[in-house]
Amino acid sequence: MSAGGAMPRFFFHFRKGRRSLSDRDGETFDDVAGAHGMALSIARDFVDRARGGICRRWAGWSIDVRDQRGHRILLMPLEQVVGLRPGEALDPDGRPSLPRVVQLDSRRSGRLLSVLSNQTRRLRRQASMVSDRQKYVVNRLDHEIGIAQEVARQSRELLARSRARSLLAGPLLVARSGSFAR
Amino acid sequence: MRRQTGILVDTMRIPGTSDPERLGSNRLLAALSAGGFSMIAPCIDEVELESGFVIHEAGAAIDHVYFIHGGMVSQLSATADGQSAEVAAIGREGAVGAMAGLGSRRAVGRAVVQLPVRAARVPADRIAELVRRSQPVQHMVVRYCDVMMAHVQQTAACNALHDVHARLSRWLLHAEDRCGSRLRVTQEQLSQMLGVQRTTITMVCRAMQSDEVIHIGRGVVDIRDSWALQKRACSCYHVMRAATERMLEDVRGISADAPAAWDGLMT
Repeated sequence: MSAGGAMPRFFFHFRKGRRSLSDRDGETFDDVAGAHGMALSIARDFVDRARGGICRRWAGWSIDVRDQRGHRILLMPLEQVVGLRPGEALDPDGRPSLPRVVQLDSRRSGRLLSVLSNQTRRLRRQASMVSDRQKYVVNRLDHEIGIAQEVARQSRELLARSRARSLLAGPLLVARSGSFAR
Repeated sequence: MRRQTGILVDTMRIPGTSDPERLGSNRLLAALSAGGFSMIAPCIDEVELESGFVIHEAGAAIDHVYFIHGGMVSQLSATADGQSAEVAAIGREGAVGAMAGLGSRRAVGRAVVQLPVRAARVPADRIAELVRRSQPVQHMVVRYCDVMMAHVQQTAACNALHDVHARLSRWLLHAEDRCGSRLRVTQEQLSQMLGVQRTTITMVCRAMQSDEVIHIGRGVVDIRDSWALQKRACSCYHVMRAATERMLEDVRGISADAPAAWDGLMT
């Protein structure tokens, strides 16, 4: 709806029966053909390439393309891109359903398990981060200590050398000062 | 040398901060022996990179190797018509541009920061030189390039065979491992990395949100249930993770002077 937008904006909503997922952002195209092409590439993203159909979760969904004023441009079942009829799936979801109470119970414990596993993961990650940080810092410290030791060694050497020189120079100075005194 | 000392003091302050997600540091460098590390240490520059920063373009010269402390970088392959897909993601278990250590100084793909990065930056020349001189560094770079190749192969198979739910779940898990459960990533970025349309990502995220697996905010994805995410993700997630852990184990094996007590914690 932007004032300066010369190109028309199209919205790609998803629909299955009474359920719908709306596309709030939309995208701009030169013309309707561009929007058609986009609908096709979106549908292609939902192809399950291992099985050759549409991903199980999206079976039966359609893309509902609308223009800025909300007029429908295209209603395309996702199955159309793999040559199936709308709603037709390669393997219909025929799992036997569990009794409801068991299902609720297992769902609750599943959620609890997931909370626990999340916490464990987080703690492990933090522990590993702390340990990595430690190692990294230890490595850096080792390196710095190495440098410091080297510097200390060199300065000790220097000190020793200058002492040796002053020992040599000492009597000379004394002798000189002696001669001056005389 | 003076500058490096200043940086050391700076990084040492970090463990005291209250944010544990900032604590991470590069696992490759942590796995390296003190001897190997001390050869790299003098050339380390600690840097922070914003999300969207291009570390190198495809075909460009690699000047620096970035050992990631935290955040995530994508290696993207682009086609001539502007489409792109992620071929590998690099976090604190790895380094961007490590191939330069083996002498290949032209980047194969584009490396973009996806989640804000802190990294130890080392000149590529220096790494290449150390690979020739130091056995542990050479072993680390070779093993890492090896595991990168394994990742790229796995990702290629994954992109060709697995559906968008599984791939998005895998990506989110990898990101969570590296950066925690609150990810500052846009749907635009996700679509670019997975090589699908933006609307596709929007709809898949919406579906995952209604299953209470993730929560979508503006430019943020919060992972609510990583257990459920693991069930949705393809096996590629575990394959890549295991390959990385084996590699780090190997690098540690060669540089076996780290205290054993820490190794139990590394996962």
